Formats: sequence, C-alpha cells, structure tokens
Amino acid sequence: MRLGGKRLGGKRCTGLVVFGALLAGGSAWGQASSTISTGAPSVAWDFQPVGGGTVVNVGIQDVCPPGLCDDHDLQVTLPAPAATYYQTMTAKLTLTYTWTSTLPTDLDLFAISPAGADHGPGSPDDTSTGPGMEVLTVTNPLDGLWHIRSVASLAPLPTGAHLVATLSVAPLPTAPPPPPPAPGAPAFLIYPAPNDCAAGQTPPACIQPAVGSTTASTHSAGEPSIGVDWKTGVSFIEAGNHTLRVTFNDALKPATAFWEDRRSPFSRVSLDPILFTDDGHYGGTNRTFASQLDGACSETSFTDDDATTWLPSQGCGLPAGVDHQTLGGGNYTATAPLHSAYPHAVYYCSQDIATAFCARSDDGGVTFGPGIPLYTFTTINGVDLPLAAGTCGGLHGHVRVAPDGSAYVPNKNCKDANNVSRPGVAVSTDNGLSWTVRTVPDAVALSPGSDPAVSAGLNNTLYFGYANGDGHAKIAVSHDHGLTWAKSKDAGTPFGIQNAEFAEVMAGDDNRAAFAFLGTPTAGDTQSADFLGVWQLYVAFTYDTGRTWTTVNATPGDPVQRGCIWNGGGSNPCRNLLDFNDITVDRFGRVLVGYADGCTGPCVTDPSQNASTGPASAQDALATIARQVGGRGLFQAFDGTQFGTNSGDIEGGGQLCYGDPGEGISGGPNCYPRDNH
Amino acid sequence: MRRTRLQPALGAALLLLASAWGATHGRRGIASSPTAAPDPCALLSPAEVAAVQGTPLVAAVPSAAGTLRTCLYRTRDPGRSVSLALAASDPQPGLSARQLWRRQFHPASPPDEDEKHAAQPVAGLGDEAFWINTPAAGALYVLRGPVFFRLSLGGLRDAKPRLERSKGLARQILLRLEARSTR
Repeated sequence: MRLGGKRLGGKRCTGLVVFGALLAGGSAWGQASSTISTGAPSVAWDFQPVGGGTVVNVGIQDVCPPGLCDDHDLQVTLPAPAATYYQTMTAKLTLTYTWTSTLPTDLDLFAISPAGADHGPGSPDDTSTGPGMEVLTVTNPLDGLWHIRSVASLAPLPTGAHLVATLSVAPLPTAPPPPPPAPGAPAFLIYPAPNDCAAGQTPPACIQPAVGSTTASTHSAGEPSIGVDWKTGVSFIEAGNHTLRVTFNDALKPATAFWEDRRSPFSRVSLDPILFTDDGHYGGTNRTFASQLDGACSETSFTDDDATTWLPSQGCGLPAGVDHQTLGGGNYTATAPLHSAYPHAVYYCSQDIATAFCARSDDGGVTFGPGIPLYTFTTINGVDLPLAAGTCGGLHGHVRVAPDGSAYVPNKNCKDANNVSRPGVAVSTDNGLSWTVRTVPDAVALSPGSDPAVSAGLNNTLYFGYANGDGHAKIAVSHDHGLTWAKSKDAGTPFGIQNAEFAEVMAGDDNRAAFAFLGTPTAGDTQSADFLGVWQLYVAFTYDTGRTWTTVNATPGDPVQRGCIWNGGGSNPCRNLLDFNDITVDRFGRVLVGYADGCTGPCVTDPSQNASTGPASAQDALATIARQVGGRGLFQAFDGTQFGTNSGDIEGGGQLCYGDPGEGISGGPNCYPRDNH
Repeated sequence: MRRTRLQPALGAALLLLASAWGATHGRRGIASSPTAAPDPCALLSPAEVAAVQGTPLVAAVPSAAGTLRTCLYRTRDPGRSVSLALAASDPQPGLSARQLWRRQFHPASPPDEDEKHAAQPVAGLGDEAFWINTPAAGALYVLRGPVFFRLSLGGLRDAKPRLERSKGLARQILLRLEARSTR
C-alpha cells in the first residue's frame, strides 16, 4: 500500500518531521550504513523488525518513526558526479527486499535520494503470508547518501527484513544522431527578453521597466502567453503581470527584436497571468487582453493600440476565488446573438468550486454573461478529479474557438463513457450556452501532468496535442468536433522523446498545424528531484492533416530546463516554469512560441546544474520567443515568400533561401546546402 | 423590490412567457415529488429574472454539464442571462451533494496558499452559502438540505451588486426548494 502524503517542496512532510528527525538521529535503532559503488557493486543487510499493528499514516517513510520504520543509510559512489557520469553511462540500483511472516503482512521498501526524492514502494506491493518480497529499481541513482527504509504498512507482528542491493552500470546506448533538418523543414530563431536596464543603459540592449515598476519581470515569466497583432505585426508575451511588447525588424538579417514593458495599469499582483490577442486569424480586431488572477483583486484589461493604452474589462472584485483562468475568442456559430457589439465572442473560463465554467462576452470583453458550468469535479487530497463519466478534473487548458464558432476547453483528465480517465475537451457548439465532454479514445491521462491544447484549422479540423500517460508527446485529429478521432501520432519519435510537457497547438490552413512541447529523451519520473533529463523546445508541423509530422528542435544546444518540471502546484524548486507555454501564428503563417526558459547563463553549458538543486540559472523563467524563420508555415498562401518578407533568411546569409520542395520552389544559388533546395 | 419600467410590448411578452413558463415548468416542478431531482428551470420565474436583470427572459434552456443539471435563463440581452446549476442529491453513487459540498468548501487538508479558493461566506442563505468572485463571472453557491446550487448572473461589472442581486434570486430559489420539500 502506498502511504500517501502531501508533497511540499519535493519532499513529503508531516507535522512529525522534527519529532522523527530527533529520534532518527539517536542510536536506539542502530542506524546502519554501508556503501555501494561500481567497484563494490553489491551489499546486503538486515532491517530491524517493524510493525505490531496496522499503520494508517501519511509520509511515514519520511518521518521513519521507530518501531514502524527502520532506516539504513546507503552511500552510493559513482566514478563521477551523476550529472556528468550519466551523460555517457547508465546505472541501475536494484533493491531486493524479503521477509517472512506468519500473519498477513505488507512491508514496504522506500529509498529516499540525496535530493530528497521518494522512490518506492517496491513491487509487488501486496499483502502476503509466509515469504514476502518487494523489488525496487532506481535508474541512474544520484551519487550521495540514500536512506533505504523498511516500513510497516500492515504488520500485525514485528517483522524483520533482509535487503540485497546491487548496482549495475553500462555504457549509455549511443543515441541516434538528431535527424538532419529535412529540406524545407521549419527553422526557428530564439529571442530571449533582455534584462532590465541598469543605470546608463538604454534599450534595445535592455528593457526599461514600465512606469511605476522596478522591473520588467522578464525573469519571472513562468506560464507565459503570446499573441500577435496581425495588423501591425507587433507581438506580445506576458511575463507575470507585465505585458512585454516585442517589435521584430525583418529588414535586418537576422531580424532584431525590440522589447518594451507595456504593463497594463490594471495588472497588479498576479498569481495566474493570461494574455490573449483576438488577432486577425478569423476576422478578429487585434484587441489584446491581459488577465490577472491575484489574491486581492482579479482584473482583466484590454488594449486596441498595442498596449499604448489599456481599458478595464469587467470589474475587479474581492476576493479572487478561482484558478487557472483562460481567455479566448473567435467566431460565433451560425446562431449568433443579435445584439453583439463586437465581431467575436470572447470567452473567459476558469476553475470554480466543484465545476469549471465559461462566461461569454458579446461586447469585446467589456462585460461578460453568466458563468456556465462545463462539468463537475471533486477534490480529493487536494487533487481535483472528475466525478463520473462525462466530467473532467478541475484544471483545464486554454479555450480556443474554431472558425465555425465551436468552442473547446481542453482538459488532461476527463472520464469517458467507461469511466476511464483520458485527455479530452469540453465542447460547445451553441456559443457557450451548453458544454459536452468528449475524450480522445487512445489517450491516457497523465497525472500529475500539464494541460493539453487544442486548435482548429480553417475548415474546423481539430488538432489536440497532449502529453500521454506514458509521457510521450501525442497529437490527435478530429473532423467532427471531437466525436471521433484518428489514431494519435507520437510527435517526439524522431528525437526519441520519452517525456513531454506543456503541449501547445496552433492550426492554420485546415491541413496544417504546429504542435510545440518541451521534450526530453530521458525516461523516468519527471516529478522526481532526481530526474536528470535535459529538456528542449520541439515544434512539430503537419502539412497533411496530421497524417505525418515534421518535428524540429527549436532550441538545439540551449536547454529549456535541466531536471524535473513540477506539475503538482504549490512550491517546488522545479516549478519555475509553472503550468504552460503558448503558441500563435502571424498573418504570414509564421509560428511563434512563447516560453519560459528555465536554464540560462551558465546552466546552458553546465550539466551539473539542475532545477531541483539550483543555482538560480537552472531555475530561471526568462520570457523567450521562438520565432519561425524558415520552412513552411501554417498558410500555404505564403509558402516561398519567407513569411511575406521575400528577403531571404539567416541561414542563407541574406539570400533568398526560402526554398520549399513541397511547393517546387528553389532557393538561391548561394544558400547554405540545407536551404539550397 | 427594485423594478424597472417595462415597455408595453415588453410587458406583454413577459406575461406570455410567464404563463408559458408556469404551464411547462413552474407548477410541474414545484408540485413534483419531493424525491425527484428539482428542475433548475422551474426555480425562477421570468418576472423574477427580468426584475433583477432588467431585461426580459426569452427562454429557459435546460442542459446537463456532467453531474450538474443546469438552466440558462436567457434574456433578451444575452449578456444579462442567468445560469443556475443544481447538484443533484446524488451526483455520484456513494457521494451525496452534501458530501461533495463538504469536500469542496471544507477540505480535510487545506490547499496550498496559491491554490486555495477564496470562498467568501454569505450569511442567511440556506444551510450555508459562499460567494466566489472572478473577473468575469461571480457565482453564489448555496447548500440547502440534500442539494446545492450555483447561481451566476451576467452583465454586471461590479462584484457588490452582482452578489446582492444573486442573493435576491437565491432566496426565490430557496423558497421553491422549500415548497417542494414540504409537499
């Protein structure tokens, strides 16, 4: 039986921690210790008897109270620090734990890593009479002191146990080289936000904080959202409660970016920032909204002049009471309300108590209608879970509206008709008056995990990107508003991606879509403080309605994160990126991904840095835009035009290197080979 | 009671709608068996909605959002519509509405600081009531007997009048729930 507990800062905590620590520090239980290394790869010991009753507790393996738990300290020694060693080698620490009982007994084995991560219990985790056994395997164990603990879950009589630990190592299988960019494959340039201007500095080398602010908050851009004004081409990325305006100059090669802090005066403290631009994709007015959820006064404001001036939306109230809001908008369905004062419906959706809801605005976000429930959920041990078939858990992704006016709110954990938890979408085909939950049948819910994302193409083909239960980056396509789905495709396959986070999807032409995600080829528990995976931003494109996907690494050589990415809420060293990224498209079909870069400065090249242990450069959240500069975009009409500039790209040294074999277009003669198609 | 002046045509439309509502929803809902789940579209009258929202009701549209039974009281100005969601007495086998209420408003373990729901207690409504405010759509939750409901009004910019008007409609809903339970 897994002994539960509430995670806080990556460690299980109870009120007994201090009490337990004092006792554990004593010698009454004769804390034994031993060492295991590649030179001495096996060690065994006996645990003291534990039990004498049925244990009902939380986090007992962390407290390790005498009588119920026995600790053995195991020093794991590697030939080099783990972060370095595991670049070329892999190791497996196998703990085989056995006992004998005369009554039904369930002992559990836990291993607490030097970083404080819990591993365990072992498997099988069951109750047995007579011989009992659990095996716990830790892949790529950290070097340092581990606490190996024998815990009584159900032990009517005090029961001792025996443990054999073995450490096996092997060279890391040679990873296949990253696939060379296919001819015409999309390419990205990375635009990180500059630091605040110091005395004597002036933009564009730095950013001037908005009037009244001491910082532009560029390094506090966890869960950023991004938008583009299609009329002016100006981009926005939200960094906390600062709206950063980014003007790209495509007359220069490569294009330069000018960053300004255009914070709305109505955006004060924020816990959940959201930006949404009702761009010209389907006739929007290019109005940009900044929504801030905070502990004192939740506010939404909007701008029609690229954040030069802001106007407040529906009022500020006390107190803020909900979570995970999202703003989106688009066409009405054929049955549009007669009295709308704005061409698009604007939706505000949020988690409420027992339900999530969406409210629709017919006046461009000035006022909203009532909040209409999407589904019901219940909160168990702090986790919002779907109640029954056709419902979802509390937290949802970003609302998106299809060209036909159908509105979609994605959710990572919904229950299908058979009560199986799967990613899905709440769908409204009546302008948000009612909602129905539809799930992706071959998707498996990942918990904890990040939100899925959804976007519809020109003829309403729906693209749904998500991190699957196995951690893989999957994307599914539906042609009937989510009633049925084609088999999901694994967009991370070309790079051997084993874990994905922050799925973001943007569709263009009906057969084209882009799917951005953070991915790592490292398998294992991404929530563990021990996780050593290196994450990059990948963007997959389809030009054939999801039948095939071309995936590119948008950040080669510049990791977005080293180590864990925490999805559990609350505070944790690995929660620097918060809950999501964002993606958009400009009027030329160019894809822009807004993301928080968690690994900056020395972290980029130092593999020993890790989000769970720091330093700050490995726990950053720098506002960054990945901007497409090559390959085909999301609108066929602009294929071969270098996104409307007709001026070449950086890979070609200023030549017209926008060749696109898919369209039979060749680049100039002096382009680099990869661009000279 | 605050009452807006109605145009004659508007008043006639309201009367027609009210009579239709009474025939198809109201009387049947109130007179139905106490053990049947209440019809959320039978818990407010057109006149009550119009009086509070200042725009006539054009339809009461029922739907189900998961285990919530909802009714959208659509007004002529759609932004001023009213949403009423009712948690049935048994939203899930083994989980009563009261238990669901307790889980949401009185969790065993308090949520993390940045995730907690700032529910503001509201006195004098039902067995217990809370107001949840958002930038777009505040909601009033009221528990009464074996059911609870969520009421959300559209079109109001400020939280205070939104809450006050919600309380007014909630009292009407409670009266009808009470009438059902005593029959």
